[in-house]
Formats: sequence, structure tokens, C-alpha cells
Amino acid sequence: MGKVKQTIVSFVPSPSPDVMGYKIYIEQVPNPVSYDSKSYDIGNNTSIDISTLPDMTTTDGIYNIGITAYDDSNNESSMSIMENVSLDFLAPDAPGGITITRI
Amino acid sequence: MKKLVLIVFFVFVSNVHSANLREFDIYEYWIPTGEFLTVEWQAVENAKYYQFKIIHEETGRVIKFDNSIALTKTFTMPKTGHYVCYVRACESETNCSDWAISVDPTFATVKDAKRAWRCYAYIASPGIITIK
Repeated sequence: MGKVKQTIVSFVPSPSPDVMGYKIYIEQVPNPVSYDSKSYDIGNNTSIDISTLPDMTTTDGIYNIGITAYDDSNNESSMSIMENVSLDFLAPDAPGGITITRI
Repeated sequence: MKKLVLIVFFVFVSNVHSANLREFDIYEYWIPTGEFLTVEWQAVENAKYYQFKIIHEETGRVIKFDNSIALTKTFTMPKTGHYVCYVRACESETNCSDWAISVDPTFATVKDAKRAWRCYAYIASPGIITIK
């Protein structure tokens, strides 16, 4: 297991005063992201490293990402979407055997 | 005591460019929570001031109640749901007209036509997403 770089998703917060938190939705291309896609409640954060989300996919690929705001009744806003995001979660294999040549 | 006879015609004046008008039995203006809205009404003879209130339909809660000598009121809707506006003319504390209600087409107008209307507040979506 190598060291995987962070993938920080940030967004401009909803201007509504009754926002209680945000949800992030993710779907692998070619499927469109929707309210039925895999989602994560990220609380009041407007910036998050998605590689640290529990059960987050670790498959490299192209993804559609959506963000919604919700209120205290769990009403959700329409979705802000970023399409065709290339995510790389897997570190390359480690280099092979190391040798030292004495000159 | 003489009761004021109110014929208030009032109208939604949107200063929100994104307001959507949805035509059901009652016209609905769809506005994000927190946006400033303005309604206005016509003057009533002998009225000293006007009382204005807004009720959140889902909870029945009065979210704004003001006395005003002006013929307009600007307000925001604090949470999602439907909102109905009320206005009445007063000569004194004990002599006010009946309430004119925005869902009563006798008193309300939409685009200069007598139409019932109310507002629906929705939660605004987040803005631009960036990834790095």
C-alpha cells in the first residue's frame, strides 16, 4: 500500500440561511450522478478529502460528483454537479529490487 | 365604532431574477430561502397605517408581523415551505379592516390580473465545485 495523495473536493456554500449540512454524491461515468447515487453526509464542511470517506470507492476512473445542501427537515437542494472528474486512488506499484553496484 | 372597509390589492414584486412562477390553482413563486422579496399593496382611504404578516403554512408560524405606513414590505423566508402574506389597513389599534390574503384572488394579483399567489421557499444549491 503506497501513499495516496489527497483528493480535496471544495465548493461554494449554499446562500440559504437554513442549511444544516451537505451531501456529496458520486457515480462512475457513464452513469449520471443523481439522488440515487452513493452519497455521504459531510456535515457543515465545504471542503473534504474524499479519499478518506468510509467505504469510498478506491477504483481509479472517471466520476461524476454532485453536492447538495439539506435543512433540518432533510429537504435537499438541487444538485451542483461536476462531471467527468478523473480520480486516481491507487498508487503505482513499488519499484523492483534495489541493487547497489560498487564501482 | 366604524369599521374600516378595506379593499387592498396587493402584489408580489420580485427583486429576485431567478424567481420561478408555477401555475397551479394558486400561483407559486419559487424563491430560495434567504432571498429578499418585496410585496406591495394599494393605499386605503382613511388608513393611518398597515399591518403586514407572513405565515409559514407548514407550521402555521407567523414569521413576520409589522406595522407600516409604507405600501411595501420586504422580507426573507427563513426556511423551506409555503408562505402566505396578509395585510390589513388600520385607523387605530381597535379599528382595522379584515385581512387581505395573498391566496384570495379578490385581493391578490399576478402580472396585473387578479390571481391567488403564495411563495415557496427552497434551499439553495451549493455553488461551483472544485477539485485538487
